[in-house]
Amino acid sequence: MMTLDRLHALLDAHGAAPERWPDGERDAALALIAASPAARALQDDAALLDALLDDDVVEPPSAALVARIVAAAPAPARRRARVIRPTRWLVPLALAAGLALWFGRPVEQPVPAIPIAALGVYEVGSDELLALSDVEPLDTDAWTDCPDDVLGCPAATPPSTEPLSGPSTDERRIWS
Amino acid sequence: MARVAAGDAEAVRVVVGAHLSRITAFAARTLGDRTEAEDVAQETFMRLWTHAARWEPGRARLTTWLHRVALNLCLDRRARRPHVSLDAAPLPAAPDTDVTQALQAADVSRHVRVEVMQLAERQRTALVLSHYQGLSSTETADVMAISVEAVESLLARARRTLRERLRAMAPALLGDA
Repeated sequence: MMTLDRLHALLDAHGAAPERWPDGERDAALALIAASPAARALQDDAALLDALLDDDVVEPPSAALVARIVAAAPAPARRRARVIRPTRWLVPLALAAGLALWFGRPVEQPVPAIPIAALGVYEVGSDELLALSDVEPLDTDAWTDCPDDVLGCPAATPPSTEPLSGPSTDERRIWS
Repeated sequence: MARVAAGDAEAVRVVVGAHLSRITAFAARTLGDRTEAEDVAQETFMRLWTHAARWEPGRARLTTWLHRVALNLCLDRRARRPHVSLDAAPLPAAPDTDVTQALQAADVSRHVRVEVMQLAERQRTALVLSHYQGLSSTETADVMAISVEAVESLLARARRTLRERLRAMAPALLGDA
């Protein structure tokens, strides 16, 4: 319900122009003004002050100010210079070269298949062959020109038939 | 604002054309000094350019944002002024008949501006934002970080004060009621 008091408050706050009034109260205020000479007088009084306020006009900004502000605006991103960077092309170039080499390699001639039977059959095991020569497998290390200066080398004596100190028979079994 | 941030010259021209005059006028009416007002307007737009890339559409209206930045810059400048604030300055003496006639003849605009500048700072800010800048009560409240009710109270007090002072100066302009 719009009253003269509320209209007075509206005019005091927002002035006489209805477009400045709150949306929710505009229609009721206009209806009251249309119906009440007292309300119309209040609006006219407010309009006088509005007119005085509107007499004060501020000059537009100077051209120099506009130019300074526009000049300081974000600049468009510059188009990247077309600089040939070796690292940009080396990787794909190397890949292409690698592929070319791979696909262009000479095709290997197939190895002629040799029947397995032509190789013969080894029916005697290595241990048995060594046993025939009377040589212990663990005694086959080099004796001379020993380069091991950390652990040292055995005395440069000719190999004897005595077995060297080493793993026991059981250990040898494990090693063999 | 995305176009502005990307350096679109046309977008920059549109934003400057739509807002620079208003922000400059707002600062001029807030500070009462044209040179300082242009400095504030320039600084406001520098901040806009800096902020453009991070602008979030829908979070704030550009108009409201610009006014808030400009208001803060104006308040900073007023706080640094060495002389006495206009708010604390004594009211002008009652004019004699010659002054009234001069006012009625040619100086209405200047005199109104002086009277607006004599308002308390918050009243003046609310009046300038609402009447001259055309912001709604909600937008004015947003810029000033106060409630809509507080805005309407400030506006009512500002207009009542102005009416009384201007009527005392120039009865013919506002009637004798």
